[in-house]
Amino acid sequence: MAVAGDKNVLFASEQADTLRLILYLIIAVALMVTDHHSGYLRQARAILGTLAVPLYRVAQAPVEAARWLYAAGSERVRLKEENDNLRAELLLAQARLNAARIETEQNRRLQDLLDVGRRYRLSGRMVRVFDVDIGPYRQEILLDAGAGAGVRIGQPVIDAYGLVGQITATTADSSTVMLLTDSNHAIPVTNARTGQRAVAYGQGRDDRILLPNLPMNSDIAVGDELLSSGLGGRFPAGFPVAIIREVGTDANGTFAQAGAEPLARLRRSAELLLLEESEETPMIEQWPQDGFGPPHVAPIASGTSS
Amino acid sequence: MSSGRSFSRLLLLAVLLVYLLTLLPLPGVLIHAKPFWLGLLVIWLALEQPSYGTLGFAFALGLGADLLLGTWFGEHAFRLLVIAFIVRRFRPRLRFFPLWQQTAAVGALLLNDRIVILMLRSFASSVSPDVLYWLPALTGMILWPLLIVVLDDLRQRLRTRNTA
Repeated sequence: MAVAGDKNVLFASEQADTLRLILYLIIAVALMVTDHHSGYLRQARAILGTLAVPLYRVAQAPVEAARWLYAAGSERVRLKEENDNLRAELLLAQARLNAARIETEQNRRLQDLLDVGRRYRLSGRMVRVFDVDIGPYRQEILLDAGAGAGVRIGQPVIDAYGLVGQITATTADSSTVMLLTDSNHAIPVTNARTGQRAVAYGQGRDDRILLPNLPMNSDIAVGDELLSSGLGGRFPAGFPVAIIREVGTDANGTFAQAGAEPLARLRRSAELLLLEESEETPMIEQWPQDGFGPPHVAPIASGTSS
Repeated sequence: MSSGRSFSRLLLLAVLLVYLLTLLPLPGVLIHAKPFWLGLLVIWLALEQPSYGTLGFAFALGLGADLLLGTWFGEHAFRLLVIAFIVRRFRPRLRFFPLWQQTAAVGALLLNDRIVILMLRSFASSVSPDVLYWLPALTGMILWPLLIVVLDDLRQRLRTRNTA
């Protein structure tokens, strides 16, 4: 049997194989270049990608089973302890939430006074992370929700501790998040202490993002917290991003630079929050008919003119 | 060769299994040690079942992996093509190597594969691998003799069952 199988290979011309190799390699390279430089294949990926979802589910099953076994096997005492801890944390969070609610209310009133026309309402949606390995060097993770569930490309993703990244690709049932540590990722930030603005670039490493090209005299110190500045409009302002871990100068010594550690638990979250920005109905009721003058704003107009 | 049908069915199963193994998350540092299962499958097929382990098969298997892992279309295909071609080219020699020598050859192939990835990636962005980056080649090489023994045993059983 083995001999019969071997025969055609022994006498198969090696040239045919080489030709085929060259042909296939050319196709592969063409595909890679197309995929990298243009969006032609994005559509194909979005459609075919749904085929991969069942495999993701099966692949993460052992992890879920292990987790379940751990929960079942761990002692009652441990669970009780964990439960108590969680309850304490919840209480604390609740208290903070209440404090925040007061501030939100104040903020709303101030904004009403300032009469900000365009306003965003932020809402989050829990999305499960596919616990599959797509390569330890890839600064990307897969989410168990896709375009079918309303996930859009460009949506910011956060966890309980800070910003995680943004959606870069979607299929009907899954989506890809580019982490803010990806070397193609950049996010505008401000220093919470000084208000200085900068752009933080991913470096392809899990634990660092880089703030290059800062002025030499900038006031930046280890331990400063970086918040998203909201410039550029992709990320909402005020979310914690990273904490400065080292400050130095670049190779030429002309600029200062800083390394920061992302606050979000980038690879250890089982669930993430997708931020949705819904534009609140603008306050501006109508523009003046004659084409100049301030627009009539609903609440004030009804309050003062009548 | 009457077992052709059942073999293709087994092969389909093996492909699914290899995809799953590739996606399987591993805890801690083990994630860096995960062998290139797709490559091992292609090497074995090209060595033992050359009528199945063709360049076309490697290409298709690679495209499937690209879809699954979200890499550029063609990246895994390119890697597996290189592996399949080298194995097919040196098949007569590789097949009659003693096991340890064959294992070393597989290690070299997998090491070469890591270099191919670096080459492909460097076109898009600068890459700087650390020591752990080379670990999958080593684990793949260590697994090879075990794999050979298990698969040969499996094939032997299949054969006896078919003739019986």
